[in-house]
Amino acid sequence: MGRIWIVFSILSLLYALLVVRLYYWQVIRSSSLRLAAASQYNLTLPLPSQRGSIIAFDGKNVVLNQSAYLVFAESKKIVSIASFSDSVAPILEKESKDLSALLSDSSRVWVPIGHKVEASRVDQLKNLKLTGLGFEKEPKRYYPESSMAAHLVGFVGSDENGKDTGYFGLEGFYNRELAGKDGELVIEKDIRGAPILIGESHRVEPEDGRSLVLWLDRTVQRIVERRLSEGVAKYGAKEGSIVVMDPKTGGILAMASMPSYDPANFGEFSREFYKNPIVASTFEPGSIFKVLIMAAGIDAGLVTPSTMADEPGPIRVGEYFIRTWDDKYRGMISMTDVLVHSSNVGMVFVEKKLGREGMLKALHNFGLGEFTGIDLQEEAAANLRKDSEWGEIDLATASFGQGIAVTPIQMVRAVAAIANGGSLVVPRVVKEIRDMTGKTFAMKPGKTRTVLSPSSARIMTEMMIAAVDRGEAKWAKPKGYRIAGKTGTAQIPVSGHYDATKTIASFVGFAPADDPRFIMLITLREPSSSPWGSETAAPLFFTIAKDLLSYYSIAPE
Amino acid sequence: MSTSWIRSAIRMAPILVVLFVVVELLVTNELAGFGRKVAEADRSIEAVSEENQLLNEKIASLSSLITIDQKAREFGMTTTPVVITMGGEDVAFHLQP
Repeated sequence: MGRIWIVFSILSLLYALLVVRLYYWQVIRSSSLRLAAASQYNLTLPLPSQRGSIIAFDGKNVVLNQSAYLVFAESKKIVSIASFSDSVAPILEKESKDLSALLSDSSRVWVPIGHKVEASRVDQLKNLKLTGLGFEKEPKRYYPESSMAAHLVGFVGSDENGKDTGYFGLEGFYNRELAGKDGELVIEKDIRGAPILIGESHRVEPEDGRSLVLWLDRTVQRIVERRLSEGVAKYGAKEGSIVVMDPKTGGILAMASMPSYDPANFGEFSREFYKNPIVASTFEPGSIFKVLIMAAGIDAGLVTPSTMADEPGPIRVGEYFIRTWDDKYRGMISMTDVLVHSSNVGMVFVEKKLGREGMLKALHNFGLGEFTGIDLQEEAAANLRKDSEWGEIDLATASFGQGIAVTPIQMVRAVAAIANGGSLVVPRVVKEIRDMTGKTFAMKPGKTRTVLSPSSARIMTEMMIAAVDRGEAKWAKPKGYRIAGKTGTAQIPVSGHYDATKTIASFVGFAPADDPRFIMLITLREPSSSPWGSETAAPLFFTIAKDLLSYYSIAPE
Repeated sequence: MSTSWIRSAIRMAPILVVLFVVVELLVTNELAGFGRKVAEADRSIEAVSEENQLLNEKIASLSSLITIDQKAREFGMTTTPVVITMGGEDVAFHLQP
């Protein structure tokens, strides 16, 4: 009886082991085995989707696809690899022996020998009428406006799998929308890897990418790029940036930075040029920042344009003395004159009125230290120090834009709140997204919050008009237009101290002041002709403003 | 009765087989022709799409501001070097009560 039980137990154990083994192969390993079997039986050919276009406000393409091809060879069909290589290599600008070595690899049935080859070269290859030579569409990016708006657009490179991927700017931010979804053709293959003609096949059609329609106006962009290039050369600046925005919607009308790069040949440029400084680099804004603190003071009801401040001489804050930019002191001056003469002492007066809480509230309110939400890949937000870490001198210097870092896009958005009646908008590059059937999805303008009352914005606009009409740069202003603006000259911090010889000259303004069509911020880094914003960035601003007013057919009053 | 029916059916069988073969051949021939037509249509769609893309490229290239600027210069047009704006007070015959 005992022996029967032993045999029964052994048989039961063996049965259980069999069940466990079957469970392992059929459940746990089933998916990997299925894949292994599929790769053994099937040949998968990718069917790449077409990347969407990038279209300017006027409907003209800024970036589109160009007919190009993936050239491949089917080694087993080639009659003579040597003569094949000798014929094909010169057209593809390759070495014949390298190509021959590639094709001689017996483990490879299908060998890609040229990526993104232009249609003209493909025609030359087709004329050779070689067996074993094939072509698949593989479009590449074409830039009809050459390197226009390079920083804004970004470029298309390859990812680690060799697949087209957008980097930087719009190509990076909207990569998923632009790329679409690749399809594939799965066909059964024989033991040698050759497709079986009467075998089963499964085709998944590719879904082409969506196109982006921008707020960008090609004409405005061209004006801005041309004038920036002239300005950088004229004033001997190391770098320069200009952003033009519609203050009501936040739509980016133009964005240019120098030095720039060519997105069609991005590999020939240093990587440091790829990032868009308008969204990715920070700077100390200097006097253009005064308009924000003054606006906060007016909105809080603590000062008015006629409030008088005493400017007897340098003012002491802790162990530091704060001076005016020209070291001239005007005694009692109004708040309007504080802006007109760009008085640092006058701004410390406003800062004292606002107090610590008021100043910090103003900085947060205007969106400093936070992302603007612009639809560009590389946006950086300059971190504000913690509220508890702001010392007396930090708040005092922040009132005139030193000791605080912002990105140009943060700055232009904050000043746009003055131009549009008090709303902090979300800057937008893309106006709508269009799919391959022509259906469009509008990207509605975004508003973050209200930061000023309409009356405070109006008062501030008048003060900025006075700053233009009576300020240091009044000589450059086009007559007959009401333009609101402010010059800025910020020293550059180097190794913990400010370099007296290096400045960032800037100008921010909007026009026509009563119903602004555009707001524009210009920054010039280390101009050598003059360190002052009033002698460099301001005249450049007014030159571009003249062009834009003429382009928009806005007549002088 | 049934025997004669079977006999006539057997006699008819070769004729039916031949008939089916002929029909099969005709249908296959028709399908083969149809397949060729589909392939031809696919090829022409591809050719037209390709031409369309080339034309798009050409339009984009010719309507680019760079090309327009170049053409304008070739036709002798120049950009105004300086735009002078005048306010109301500068107009010679400005009428004010």
